Amino acid sequence: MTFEQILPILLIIPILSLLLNFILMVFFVYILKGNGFKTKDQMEVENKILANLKKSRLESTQIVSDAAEKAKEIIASASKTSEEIQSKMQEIGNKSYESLHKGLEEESTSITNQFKVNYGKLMEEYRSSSQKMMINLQNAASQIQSNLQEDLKSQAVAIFSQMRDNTQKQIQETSQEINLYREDAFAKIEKEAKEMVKKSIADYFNTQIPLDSQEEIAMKSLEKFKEENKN
Amino acid sequence: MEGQNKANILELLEFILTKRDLDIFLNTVKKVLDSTYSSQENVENILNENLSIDLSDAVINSAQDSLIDLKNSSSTRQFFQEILDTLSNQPTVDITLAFTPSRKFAKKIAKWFRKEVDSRTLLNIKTDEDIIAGSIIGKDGRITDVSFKKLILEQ
Repeated sequence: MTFEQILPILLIIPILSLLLNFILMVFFVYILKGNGFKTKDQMEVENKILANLKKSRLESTQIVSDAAEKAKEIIASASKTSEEIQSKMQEIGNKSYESLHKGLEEESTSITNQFKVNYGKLMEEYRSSSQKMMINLQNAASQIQSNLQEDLKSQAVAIFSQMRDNTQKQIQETSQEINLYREDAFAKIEKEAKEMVKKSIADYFNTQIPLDSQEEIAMKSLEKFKEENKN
Repeated sequence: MEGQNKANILELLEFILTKRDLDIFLNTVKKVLDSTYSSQENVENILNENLSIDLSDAVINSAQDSLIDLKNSSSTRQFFQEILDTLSNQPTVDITLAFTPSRKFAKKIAKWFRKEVDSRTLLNIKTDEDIIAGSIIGKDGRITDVSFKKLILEQ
């Protein structure tokens, strides 16, 4: 039986005791007034009533005191019970905590193991990926180096080709300039030679070739042409 | 009849001695042909305006000998088209002289060539003082240099 269940009973008991005393007192008053005792008798009766009242008061006080004591005991008992309950609860709590802790430890261990396994896998994957990455990097670097070499080679070839073309162009231009200069020089020489020949002929004939002589020479040249083209 | 026409046309070469003469003559022939389509101009007027009197008369006489009525557009067109076809591809000789020849001397050379080389030869006369004297003759892609210049250079 818990303290909360006992508490109403403990409160009702003193009240019931007071009510019973009151009823008893009314009863005695009624008896005294209804029977019509004599003064002495009445005094005796009153004394008795007073004595009874006093007694009743003492009894009721005693009852209340007893009830209070009892209530205290019960409260104390209830308190003890509460402490026991708390103790039990504490014990249960401790056990639960231990159990929980133990469970948590197991869970933690399981998680740690799982984590180790997953971490190991991750590390393995990472290692594998790193190796692949390194291989890919090496291949890429090799490819880049190869491409770079090819580029450099083609650029070098292009530069040399350009240089060769430029040189050829320069040689060609120089050759053309030389030819132009030579033609110009030859033209001057030829012109001077012609002038010299003209002058020589003019000196020889004492004048320039006259028109009739030119016509005669031209006709003679036609005969020469005819002879040369006979065959 | 057609052969006679051609012979009459070739007789015109007596008045056409040089390549330049032929170019002027053929341009005139083309003008005549154009006029036969418009019927605006008189053929004889075109000939007289563009050719020498001798050549113009020779063409008119040639048309008469070929019984061509120059007032008839159709027959005129046919006659002049035949002239154009016949004379367009005449043999030409290139001759370079040291002087500019007179018309008379050019005619003399042309006649010499027609007598000695080809009766229909046309001259394409050029002038180059540098050859000093003599001539350089080009015929059928072959050049014969009989100039003083060559003679002196060979000496």
